[in-house]
Amino acid sequence: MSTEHEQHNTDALGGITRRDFVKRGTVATAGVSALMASGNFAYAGGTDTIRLGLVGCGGRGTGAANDCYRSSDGIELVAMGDLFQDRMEESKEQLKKRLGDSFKVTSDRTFLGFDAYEKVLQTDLDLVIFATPPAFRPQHLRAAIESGTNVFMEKPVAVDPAGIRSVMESAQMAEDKGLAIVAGTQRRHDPAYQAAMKRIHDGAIGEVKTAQVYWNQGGLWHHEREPGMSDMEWQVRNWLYFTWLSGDHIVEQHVHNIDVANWALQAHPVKALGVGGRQVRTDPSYGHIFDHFGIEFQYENGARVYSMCRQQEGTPSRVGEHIIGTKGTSDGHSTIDGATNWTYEGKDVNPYVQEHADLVASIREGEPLNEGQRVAESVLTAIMGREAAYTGQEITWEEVLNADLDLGPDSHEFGSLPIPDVPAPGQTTLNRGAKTNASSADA
Amino acid sequence: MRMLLWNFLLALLVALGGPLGGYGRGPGDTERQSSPALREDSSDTYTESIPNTLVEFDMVRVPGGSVTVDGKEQTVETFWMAAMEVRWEAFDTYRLDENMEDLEDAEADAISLPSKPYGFGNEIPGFGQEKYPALAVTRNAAQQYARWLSAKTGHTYRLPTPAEWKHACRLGYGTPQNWSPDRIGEHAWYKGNADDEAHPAAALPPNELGIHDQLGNAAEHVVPPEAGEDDPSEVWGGSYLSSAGDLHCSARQQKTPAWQESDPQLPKSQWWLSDAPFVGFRVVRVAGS
Repeated sequence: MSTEHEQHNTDALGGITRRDFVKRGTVATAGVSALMASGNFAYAGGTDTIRLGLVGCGGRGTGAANDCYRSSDGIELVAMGDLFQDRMEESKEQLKKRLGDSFKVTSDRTFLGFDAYEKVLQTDLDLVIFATPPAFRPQHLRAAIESGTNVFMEKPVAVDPAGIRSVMESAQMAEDKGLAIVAGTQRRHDPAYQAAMKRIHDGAIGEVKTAQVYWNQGGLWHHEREPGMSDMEWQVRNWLYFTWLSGDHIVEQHVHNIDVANWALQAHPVKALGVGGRQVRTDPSYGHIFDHFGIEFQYENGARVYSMCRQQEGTPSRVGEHIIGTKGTSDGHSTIDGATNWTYEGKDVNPYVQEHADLVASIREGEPLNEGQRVAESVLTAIMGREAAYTGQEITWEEVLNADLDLGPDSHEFGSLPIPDVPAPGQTTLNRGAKTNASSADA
Repeated sequence: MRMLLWNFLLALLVALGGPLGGYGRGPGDTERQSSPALREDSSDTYTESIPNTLVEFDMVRVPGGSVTVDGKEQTVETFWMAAMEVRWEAFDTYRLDENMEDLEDAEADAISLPSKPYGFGNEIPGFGQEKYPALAVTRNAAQQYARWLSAKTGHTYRLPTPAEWKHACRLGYGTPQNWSPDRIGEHAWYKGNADDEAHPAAALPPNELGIHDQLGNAAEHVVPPEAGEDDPSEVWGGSYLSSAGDLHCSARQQKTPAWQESDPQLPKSQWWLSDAPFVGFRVVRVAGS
């Protein structure tokens, strides 16, 4: 494979790139690269090595690297980056065990710090996985596309309108450069969802008029603040509970179900009205986010989607979608009831693996998947819902897309970082501007 | 509709003043009015209460005997078995315990609390909270619960051995010859009547020993006395997903990677089985412990 790496060096001169080589190699063996069934997921064939990097080595990033390795032949993990040594070590131990000889991360290709992503991207990668807290995603994505690297990125892909605009631009840049972007909204790669959605789009439940989408559950993990921990470290380790890091749970978690509503309607909503609050999980160790939201999304065609999400301990869970049309209903993935009745009887596939199989196959076949714009729209939908609840106002798509709202601190460094206030409907405004490390947000 | 019907029946039972744990069993009802932590005034049953909570459950005496497991005849001493599968309200008092340091048991130091599940795949396991069996729990989680319960109550609880589980099952349901498959739905939630969902614990009448749901509803963890941490866990008795033929006192399922396939994290959870929402457990107590 060394010749391919040498070819990569001609990239700047406009010559053949390693990625071109990977594509051509597979075109030449197209028969091999056809999707084949193996285990319980469709398997991406082709043998040209994909050099993989991982940025964000928590449980999900580590899982995603393993899923990518399992999805396709010829995946080698060559570089890793994180903020914290402990997460890096645990991740290396897990991945060494599972990837065996395909774990090719040497000590000079592990990087710690806020700039680890830049160093990972300098190790001659074909594909990078971004699984840090979402706050950093827009910056990481831009750097990857500029460096000519294909991307798998976890959802959500941004936490605020400034980040969404950046992701949309990066998605267009990727389109222009022929690079792949796949996002971790894995339902899009689940054959059961795909089969139901095809039927819905073909009119099996008539015109979609409304849907109810849910992510209700108990609480989530939380890390105690240890002596000597800076504000920044404590917040990043507890990233779920800070809007600038996670987007709040409607964005971080419920975006999955909101994305399904957009998928069913083949559109994003035009406005949102909502309620929400911080009712039970009020201890300051849980940052400043809400613990429940209820949002109505209105679409161009008049459809209204009702969304409910909750993270309150001791309450039952409900995660799912209920889609209602003029001629029937569907749960979005296993059944259609009404004028026609249908039950999914195909194979159960692990969508967390399938999303990587689809991504790698698309790279090797020279037809890169690009989900960047679509996932940005779904994440912005969730942000619009959040902002409707935070502000108490009806928020339109145009307002949120163009909002002057950049939640992150102006520099990423371990140091002082006040916790923003809990948003107050009727007082919090949409155009809250940009934040600095010293200010209290949501003023 | 089935869920609505059950909610209605449960509400009715509550309205009539009958504690759900005693559904189908008369004597426990009056005893519960003045509820000390432990009563063994009946030779066949007592009610355990988790201190400082409203959670109670009945324990049933299982007379000793012998039973064949893996071709070997084994002697089982008399022991107590919980009349119902561990419910969420019991498991949650452990899972969310904020007073672990109050436990006096020396062993309590080694008890850890489960992680909080992020939600797996399309559904977080669980069909309801109150009254429903705790589901999708690993053997480790079930064992930690039993240790916590022991420290809380001062009585030694643990998971049943395969021999204890099977012996109790055969006493309660009779021998396979006596077990009429067409009557299985009277006592057990299984594929034929469960509508692909777990049901509230003890919603169906108990077997002859006074034990509910040992067959069907949640398949139940058992732990051989010599089991190591790396031995694959096993659940017995079939579940709400099992067909009638797979609902008997020797029905066992061994853990496979598929039980955690869609857990997107690495390492996989030590506490939750993302893809095995049919797995639950019940506790036993050695007599006199």
